[in-house]
Amino acid sequence: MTQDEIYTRLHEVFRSLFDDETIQLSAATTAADIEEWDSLTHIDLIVSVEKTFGIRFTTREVAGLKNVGEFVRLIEGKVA
Amino acid sequence: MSARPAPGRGIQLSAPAVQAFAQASHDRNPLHLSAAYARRTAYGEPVVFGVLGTLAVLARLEPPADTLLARLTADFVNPLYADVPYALEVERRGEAAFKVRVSDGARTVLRLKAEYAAPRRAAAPPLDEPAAARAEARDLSPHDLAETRVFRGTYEPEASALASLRGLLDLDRAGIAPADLSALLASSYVAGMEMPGLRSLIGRIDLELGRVPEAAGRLAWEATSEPLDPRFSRLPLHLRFACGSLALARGTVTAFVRLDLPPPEADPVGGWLEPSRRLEGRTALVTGASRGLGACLAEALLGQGARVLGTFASSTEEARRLQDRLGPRGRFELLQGDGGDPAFWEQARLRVRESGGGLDLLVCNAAPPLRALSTTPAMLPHIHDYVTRSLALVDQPLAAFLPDLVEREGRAVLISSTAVEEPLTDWPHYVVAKAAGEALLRTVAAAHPSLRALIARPPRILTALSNTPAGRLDARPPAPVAARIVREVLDASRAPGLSLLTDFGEARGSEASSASGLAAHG
Repeated sequence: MTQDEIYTRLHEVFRSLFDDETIQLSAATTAADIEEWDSLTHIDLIVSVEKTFGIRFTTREVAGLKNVGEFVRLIEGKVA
Repeated sequence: MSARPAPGRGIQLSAPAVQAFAQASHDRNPLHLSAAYARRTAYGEPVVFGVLGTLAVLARLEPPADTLLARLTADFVNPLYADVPYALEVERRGEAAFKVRVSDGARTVLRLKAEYAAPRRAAAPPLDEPAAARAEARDLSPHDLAETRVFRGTYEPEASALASLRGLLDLDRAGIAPADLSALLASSYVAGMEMPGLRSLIGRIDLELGRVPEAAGRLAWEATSEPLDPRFSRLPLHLRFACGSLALARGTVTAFVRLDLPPPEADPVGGWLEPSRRLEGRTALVTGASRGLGACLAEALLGQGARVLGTFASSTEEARRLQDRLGPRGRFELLQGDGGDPAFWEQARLRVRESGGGLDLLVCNAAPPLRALSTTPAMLPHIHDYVTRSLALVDQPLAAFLPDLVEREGRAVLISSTAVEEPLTDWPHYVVAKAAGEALLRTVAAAHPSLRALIARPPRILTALSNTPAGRLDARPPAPVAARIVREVLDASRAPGLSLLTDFGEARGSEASSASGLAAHG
């Protein structure tokens, strides 16, 4: 799966979870850029991404993420 | 229409409303009702029931006439507390839907979506089966919840308390069918008392409601859990409510299971710091020593041969266990009292004198129970109160023992925090209190050149304070942090004066990884 394909599916997850069709993700996007992205929705996001891509993260992997770009690379490594 | 503040339409939950909700719903989870219990959690004080906050918000909305609540989603982002004014930002979506943000003026505490629709007409014969509610919360452990569990029962709110609650919240205009109000209360009851029960923390409620005005409040309920996700201690519960063959509400409560802290004996400090006799003949006093980092510091100093007095305010059970564990070494004693009271420190000073001469090492570790606050006008009195109480836990023991420490060329250690340099936006009072404590110790060290003063700024430690589903992810166990601090105390190369300890190394082994940049707020 290419990064473009991951971004496409990730947009669907974010827009559904945050109920906001205007969300535009980039590699530099962080929680500070999305109003409702807090510690609670972060856990929901992780679980939703796992279901969407059929993968599973460890707590260490998700605790160390700095931005969406790192998240996409992590997903890419899992679905490869 | 965009979100807008709703002046005068905020919510504020009183203690009587909390009590009425507990009685009406039969949800008696101590996180909401017991100050002593809540103090030992990351929330510091009893947390208002999330469903109670939700009902208070629903009572402020103005749905179209002749509609009833049909769909509700509530995200409990941060805890609500009693007697705190919360503001509502209400976005009306079309005629019959609302999106609401509830905040303390800065921090979101609750997000809510409500949709209303016409009532549904259906025959609803009363349920004959008597309702039954537990008096005490079931305590299901993560092990108990590793597989899918199913619980069933019959539920009915307590009538007189429900009437009080309706009046207190002005619920009669909220457009909630009686059976659906029962289902909302039952959602709180099921999570808080049945599954997971005692350790429950509700993160989200997502319910489709029956909208059958004729249905009475007595319901049959069924709760089916998904297997617990041990990474986040997340437990989705799928709920169904019915009256006989008539299906009413259904949906999902996403609960979190509050996990116990690992017992101190599971990670003894001796595994991180080689025992020695380097502090033999010395007397140390550690404040806030009954649990967490304080208990580990006491253990570490004991392991170096010191005689150790620990103080604590209220955690008697933890203190008893610590005394049982460390007491047999013969040089350990715990004193209970109010660390902000000069009389307590006079008593502690006499105790030190009676059994050893004077104090050689003071470790100021104690802090008052902590809850998140924002720098809004309504919160300022709480911030001021916290800073005053927190600083007293440093300046009182320091003032009481400073003559000893100066005379004996002793050491004073302040347990500060990385938050002084990297402020935690939810805890401005904590940051201010730690910074004030540092300033005090700096000043004292400047005034008394023979004193060895150490400010330690450890990273987030896994203690009761950080023991939340998200907080655990990047918290370190206390034992290696205590070992690092005591190693610094033992460093004979330190000249008198002030030193700063910020290097606690990289997390490794069982320690968690660095802070999450993604989940930056909330």
